[in-house]
Amino acid sequence: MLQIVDLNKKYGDFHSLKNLNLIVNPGEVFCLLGQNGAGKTTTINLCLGFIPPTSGYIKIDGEQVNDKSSSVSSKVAYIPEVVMLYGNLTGLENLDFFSRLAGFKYANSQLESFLSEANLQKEAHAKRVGGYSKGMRQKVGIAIALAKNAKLIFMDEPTSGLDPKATDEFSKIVLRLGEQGKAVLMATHDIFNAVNIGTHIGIMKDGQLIHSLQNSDINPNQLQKLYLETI
Amino acid sequence: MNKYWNIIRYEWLLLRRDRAFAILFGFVLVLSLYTIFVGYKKYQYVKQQREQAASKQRKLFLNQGEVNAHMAAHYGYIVVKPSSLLSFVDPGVEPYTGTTIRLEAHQQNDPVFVPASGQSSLIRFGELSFGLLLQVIFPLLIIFSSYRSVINDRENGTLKLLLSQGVSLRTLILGKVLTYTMIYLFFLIISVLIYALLVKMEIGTYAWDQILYRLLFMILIYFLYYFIIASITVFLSAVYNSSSALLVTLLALWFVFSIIMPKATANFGAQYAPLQSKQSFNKSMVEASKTGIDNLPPIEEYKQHFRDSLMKAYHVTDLKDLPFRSSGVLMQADETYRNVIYDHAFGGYKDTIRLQNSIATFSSLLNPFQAIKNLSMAICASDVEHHFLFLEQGEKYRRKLVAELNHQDAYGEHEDVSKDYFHRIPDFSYQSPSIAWSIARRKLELTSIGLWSVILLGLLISGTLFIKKI
Repeated sequence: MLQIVDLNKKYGDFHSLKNLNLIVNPGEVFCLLGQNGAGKTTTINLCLGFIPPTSGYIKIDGEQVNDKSSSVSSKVAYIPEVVMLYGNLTGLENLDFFSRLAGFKYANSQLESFLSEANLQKEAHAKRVGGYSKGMRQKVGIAIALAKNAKLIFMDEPTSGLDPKATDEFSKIVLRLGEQGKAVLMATHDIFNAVNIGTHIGIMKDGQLIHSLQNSDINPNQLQKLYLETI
Repeated sequence: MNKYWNIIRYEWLLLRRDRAFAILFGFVLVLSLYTIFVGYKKYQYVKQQREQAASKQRKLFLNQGEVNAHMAAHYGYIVVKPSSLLSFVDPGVEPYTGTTIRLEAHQQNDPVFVPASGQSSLIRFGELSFGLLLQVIFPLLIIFSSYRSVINDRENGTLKLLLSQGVSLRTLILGKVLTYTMIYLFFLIISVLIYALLVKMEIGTYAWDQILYRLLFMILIYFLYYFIIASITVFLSAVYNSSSALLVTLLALWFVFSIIMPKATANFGAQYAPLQSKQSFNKSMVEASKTGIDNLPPIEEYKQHFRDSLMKAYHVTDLKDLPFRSSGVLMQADETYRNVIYDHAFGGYKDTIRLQNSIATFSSLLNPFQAIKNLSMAICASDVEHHFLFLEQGEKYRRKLVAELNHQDAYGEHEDVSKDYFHRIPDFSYQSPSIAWSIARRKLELTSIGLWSVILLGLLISGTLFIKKI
């Protein structure tokens, strides 16, 4: 689903990303670990086409990102650290607006079902997002991804700042997405969460992917040790 | 197209739910209606005053009784400029030009009773009209309502989420530009509809089609004008990183374009082509008649030649022997001579004013505010060209009236005309020009608005590709 080949990104003399190679297949949840500045967010920004690469390429479902004729944007969804929605719109209205921008027009009942699927309590659906907690906003973000029926979902530290219960709820949703055959690339600082939900785990440092592991090959303690040694 | 509609729909919903904008929009609506109603009341008052004055003068003219035709030509006729129905939308130069002219034999008088001269010094600097609101205040409000539209989305991260949905920055920016253009166009249309209703009540079907064309054209050019303002604001909102720096830039642009440049070009125009004083204008006419102009000999020579040729034609040696009263014919010859001198001098006077205005007209290519200002006055029939038209029609009426009275003096049964005679002279009736006439004199301004719109549309379509997304 996602294929990153020899990807480099330079800002002047600063080499932000160095020869990144990575593959995420359908049903896989690839968790990228690393300190701030390791290149996780840059990788996601490049994958979403927000910034152009210096060299190398990214293919999503066989189509190259930044190719004007490609339709990759219709295949991907994005959940940032804080899903910044419009505070003066309700959860339903936000979902409707973002879905319409992606080319989907749903009835209210369908929108409600996406929000419920993302575990947002029913009474919050028609409330303005300005009063939502971070966890509730993240759930609307997931609902947006579900409504778009994206094959590949990028998540940029989505559980950062969430309380343990909200993190647990979020993790379960990500696992379910993987089970549904979605490919997920998630940048995170949370080692234990990565072990819980990731099928694959990568450790980045200074723009390089230092380790790329299968979850089955490593336990949480080994991962923590490896992570601390790497960074 | 659907994406644009969705952006417009939700952008509008967001603005409606923002308390600050709700207050702002309420303020705009109240201000629009206030200027329309105050303007309408003022129009009614001015119209009544002018109609009363014109009617009174007509009565005085008709009731002169039996008088000498030449005396009647000296007594003359007073014409009052009718108030343009659209002048209360944009008063243009009307407050600063005279409204009443005394038409009499031998000389062309200046229009008198300048409305602004009776106003307080504050109003003389420019009254709050609907036109001022549309041209100066609305652009400022567009800036205030839209300058954070993209920068806000970028600062709080919503832009990334929007772009990840597959919507391009170009679509987003164009959608926002259309939203703000349409919001202010909506206020314009509401106000114009109310205005049209008031006008319809006032005039019925008389000249309604011309008013309607002018209103529709007004909506069209203001649509383009607001599109220009919204495009610049939203585009810069996508380019700038700091909202405070952006606001300062936009306010500076607004100030320079709508306040400084028009004043500067007007001052430059006055310096570049100084206008003759009335004294100097009259003196130049006297000089011209003394020396003659082009193929016209000096006046005394002309008069002598006319007298001689008249006597020769009728084979007489004394004017008294002519088969008609010579005074009327000689007076008309003198009138014809002076008309040529006046046309020459007044033509130069008009040329000077047009040269002064041409500086502002050319600056409209750089400044859309100047373009809309001139176009608005033309649409509302309140610019200097419409004032000239009134003067020309007044002068034409004067010439016809004087010629008629001179004819009566020369060929009438008696030197005195009967008291019924004056009833045969039709009243002065100002003929309003068509919108095509008004607009034909503002081609450069139209070109400016059109060019700005096309260039900015091009910038929104292709320029957005070069803006960094995050």
